[in-house]
Amino acid sequence: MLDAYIYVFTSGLIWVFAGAGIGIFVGSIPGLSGAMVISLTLPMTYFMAGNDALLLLVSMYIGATTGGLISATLMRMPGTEAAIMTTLDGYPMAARGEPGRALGLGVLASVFGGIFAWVMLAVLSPPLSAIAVKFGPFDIFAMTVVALSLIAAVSQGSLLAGLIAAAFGAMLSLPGIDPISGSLRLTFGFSSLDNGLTLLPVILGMLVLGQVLVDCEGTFNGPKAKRAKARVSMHWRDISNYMITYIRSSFIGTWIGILPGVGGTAASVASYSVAKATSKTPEKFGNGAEEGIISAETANNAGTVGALVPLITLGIPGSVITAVLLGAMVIHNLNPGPLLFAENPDVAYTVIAGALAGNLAMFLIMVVATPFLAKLAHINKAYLLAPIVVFCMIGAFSVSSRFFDIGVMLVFACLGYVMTKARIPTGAFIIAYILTPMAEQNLRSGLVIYDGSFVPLFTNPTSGILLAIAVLSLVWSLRSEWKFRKKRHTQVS
Amino acid sequence: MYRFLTQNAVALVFLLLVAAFAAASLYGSSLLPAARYEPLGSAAFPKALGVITLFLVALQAISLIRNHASTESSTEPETASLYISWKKYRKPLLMLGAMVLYLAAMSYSGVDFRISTSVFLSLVMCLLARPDSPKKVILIAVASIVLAVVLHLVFKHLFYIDI
Repeated sequence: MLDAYIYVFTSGLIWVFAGAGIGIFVGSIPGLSGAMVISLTLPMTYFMAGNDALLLLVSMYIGATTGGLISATLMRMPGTEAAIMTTLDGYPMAARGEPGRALGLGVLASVFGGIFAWVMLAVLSPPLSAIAVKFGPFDIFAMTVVALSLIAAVSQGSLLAGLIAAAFGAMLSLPGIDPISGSLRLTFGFSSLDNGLTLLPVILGMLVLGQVLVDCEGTFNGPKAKRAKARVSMHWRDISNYMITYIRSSFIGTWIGILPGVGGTAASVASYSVAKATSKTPEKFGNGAEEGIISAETANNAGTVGALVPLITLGIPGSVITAVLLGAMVIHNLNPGPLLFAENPDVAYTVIAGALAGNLAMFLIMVVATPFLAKLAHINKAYLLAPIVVFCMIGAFSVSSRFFDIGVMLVFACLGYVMTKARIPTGAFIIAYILTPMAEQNLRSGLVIYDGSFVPLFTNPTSGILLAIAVLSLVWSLRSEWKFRKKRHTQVS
Repeated sequence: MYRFLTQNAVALVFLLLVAAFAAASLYGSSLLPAARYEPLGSAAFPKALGVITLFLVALQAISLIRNHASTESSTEPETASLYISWKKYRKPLLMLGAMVLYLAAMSYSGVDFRISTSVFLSLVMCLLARPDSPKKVILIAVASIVLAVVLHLVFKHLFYIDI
């Protein structure tokens, strides 16, 4: 464990600063997301050691979440989805002549939330993985079912849309070599499909090029947003003045981050709502309240690091970005899931140490480079989309030097575009695409062990409880949706 | 009916795609041999997922029809909605077309990466940014050529990817 920290804070620092810097830059540009930049960086990490690659990507993830703060505060445009709540108070504060103060509060809150969640990550992960390593095939199958049910249940749009996306993603993960029998299936005679649809072109097409096509619909020559001065100004006494808000928001953010599929946006919304409900001056919220910025930014960064807990202990991605991180582990021949701590403890502890280093690097970069980054946030996106396409082309080609993979990526770009327009969550698709092979392999292995009987799946305490959670989450979301529809129907009539 | 189709065009296209994939999955799994050494076999998951997906697609289609019926009160002319839809999708379609041509240029025609990339970058940037002076067009072209050459150098000599 100590070796991992020494590595991260010595030779690994270059990847930490590079990742955090690029993440902040991309996060500060409205419309470019962390998932996008991490997906684009994946092919370039082929040539790196697994530790270095994960360090770079985790730092990028942390940087991208915080970078959204800059444009949310200065331009009223959240650079990332998780920064939506920050616009409510960050922009009004900047508009009344205190942009530095708004940014300072946000940066301090981000690093506080991130480090709080890192403590939880460092404390919870080893014992959780020690339990998870004892899981049998049926338990792992049940765990993936829980993850998929939660992700579909909390998807943007409706439960049905989330379920369709998950089923579609699961279905497209099946062509290729059957993991148990080794025979080919669903290739329809195309030898290019023998190894299935490669993960990277699918991710690049669905998450990056699909979004590029959506972004093309916008106008790029509209009136330019007013440029505010962006020097960060912070006071350490803010931590003591708002200690309860900091700690409460960190708890909320970390907890929500740990839950699969919920993510940083929900964490900041929940934290902001609680802060407003418990504030002595709720009327200030929405008009530049310091507590509003603190609660939103603390929670979204805590949620970012919290989402790493299920990723490294159970191999369950809680969000699209962590799904891409899981993909990075697969690409680097690591064994994501309960066995990660047992087989690659150096990697697991590198991710944990990287979460701390990434937050510290993010803090330094934000303090020093925010004035410069604030100017870059005004870049016309018309000049960025074409280079992104070129990077994707090279990335997809680099997998196995086949133009077929670029073709696959373009097909998934169309799918990603259509899904976004039809309000079908692409996150549920990607996560199901990654988890289904794991689920299938474990279910079939479990059946071989138990002579074809499904009974132990329900009677075994771990898998039984996990399946009950999956059913409960689906019932709960069905009930919520039914209530929502009933309310809407009453309003219409 | 016409209004329903134009208003839900994207959602319907998606559902048709998913249904087609599900049907293909069911057909493909019916061609697979029965399991010999294990209870489930390689066809079980594709079959189950195909059936579940088709069921969900049917539910979503019914939901779309019911939603449309409950909001059927607009008096907007039908042709207007079709025209707006096409205009909205023009740029994404052009971008997609440019991507396909870019891929075709590299894979089938064997055009050098630097040339195809410079042309692709210049065209797409001009299409999206709509430069208002020849000076900007020249700047875009120069930036595209520089970027293409630098990317080629970096990926060929540093990452050993010769596209």
